[in-house]
Amino acid sequence: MKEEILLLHKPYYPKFHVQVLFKSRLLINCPLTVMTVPTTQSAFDRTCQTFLSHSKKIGDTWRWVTPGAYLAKTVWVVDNSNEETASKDEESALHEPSDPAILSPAKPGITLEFHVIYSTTYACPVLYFCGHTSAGTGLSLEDIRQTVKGHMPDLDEQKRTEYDMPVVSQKDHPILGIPFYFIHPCHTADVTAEMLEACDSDANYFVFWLSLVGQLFSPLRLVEVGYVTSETCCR
Amino acid sequence: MQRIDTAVTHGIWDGQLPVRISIDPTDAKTLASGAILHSHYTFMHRCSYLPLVTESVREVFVKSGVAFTGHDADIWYEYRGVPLKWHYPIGLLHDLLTSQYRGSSPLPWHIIIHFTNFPTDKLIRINAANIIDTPHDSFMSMIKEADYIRNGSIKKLMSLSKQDQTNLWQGLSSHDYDKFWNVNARLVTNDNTIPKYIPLRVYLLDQPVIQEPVAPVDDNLDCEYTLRDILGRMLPEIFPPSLDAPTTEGADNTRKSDASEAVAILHGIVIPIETPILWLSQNCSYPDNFLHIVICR
Repeated sequence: MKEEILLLHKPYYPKFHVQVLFKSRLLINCPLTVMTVPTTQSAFDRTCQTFLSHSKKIGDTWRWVTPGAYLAKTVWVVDNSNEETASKDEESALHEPSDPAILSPAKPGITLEFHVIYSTTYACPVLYFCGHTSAGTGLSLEDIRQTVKGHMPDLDEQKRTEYDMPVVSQKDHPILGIPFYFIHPCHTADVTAEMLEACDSDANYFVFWLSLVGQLFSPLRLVEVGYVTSETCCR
Repeated sequence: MQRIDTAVTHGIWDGQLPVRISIDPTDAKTLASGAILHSHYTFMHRCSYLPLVTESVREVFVKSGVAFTGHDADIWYEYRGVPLKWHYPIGLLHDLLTSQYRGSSPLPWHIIIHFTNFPTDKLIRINAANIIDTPHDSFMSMIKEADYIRNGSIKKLMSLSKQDQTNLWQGLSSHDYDKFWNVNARLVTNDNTIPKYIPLRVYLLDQPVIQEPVAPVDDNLDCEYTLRDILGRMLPEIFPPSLDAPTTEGADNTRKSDASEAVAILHGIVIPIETPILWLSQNCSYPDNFLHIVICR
């Protein structure tokens, strides 16, 4: 059973964290039964504020949304679906313009909106996302995947968690009440519980979790590398 | 601990809603040019979900001249301009969207069926390959979340045999009380242990759903919380927390008039606010194991 968990979770770990994870034996000791992470909405809010101050320092574009109290980030993705063979630098597939409208007429692309919202049930952050064309039309997961270079193979609606739930599916946004895709928290809750113990602060745990779940969107990067190379690195 | 009152659970299970379904006028023009289409009158189980009735409703409209050749996953419903969330139980949809009537809305409930222009910005998409897959996942996701809320893990549900897990959904979709409750009783009674928290969602029209950890008893396990305790904590402006035990009749009357504005509706019924939340959870939860309570002001 432990082996299975190892395999299930492996794709979601960012490469630069895998060593740390093995060192802290997170992957090996991951328990099947899930205990509640000892954290609360207000602890989550504080963690986010710490995260945001780091975020601003390194020029990442996460922002805080009220009412609702959640983190959000908007990324503009240039449409690569028609240039499969183009040998462009992968990094250039992702831009974070201050005004997406400036770029959009030059090259077709989509806007991806990422929200990190605290789940009172699973007592952990949950990643929600949705995609729109520059004209504002909502996109299906398939549309989004086709646009992003590499097609994000791990972001597959057919994949199931160990609790037999889709890894990614749609759900009402807890605050906006409209459909968003989300990464089901039941399979990350047990990992985050241990991550919290292994990290020396809530903020580290948060960066850890976000880069972990962000692996699903590779090559897009939900967190900039600056968090990891700085003092926020997990121990 | 086990306090399943089968008269109550049977009553809720069999609760039905008279519904009048009319076709959207634009769809009628394009799909049934010129034909006069009558409304379809039917009963829907309050505990069921719209995708589970779509096939039979579609058949009625196709027979009466609607040239619909699309997939059932494209069909959606609306009430007074609001697209109906198919992943909410039908009873909850009705209670929430007619909450201005405070539990006595005019019946039948008149909703509109649409065969085109599925509003993907407002409603969760249904997998067209199998119209039941998405609702099934959605239902199981709720029931697993409920288990997590009660126990801090999904162990109890995952320890059910595959057949028992299947029986939950099959019992619901075929309206087979015994098939469903044989398994469900083990979940809602939590094997005779007091759950950590109660699976509860509170709805107010046009506001985000409220879902917070709600303990059924106090820390010393000697006081069961009532619906009033819970709502008083969640919505203190709407349900002013009850005063200490009233010593005079006058004090009691004051309290009553404070809270007389708002009522809590569940399964179309105004729930007595002094009902213990644990009893309510075990007996009056929807099949997804949640209490979906609508607040009417």
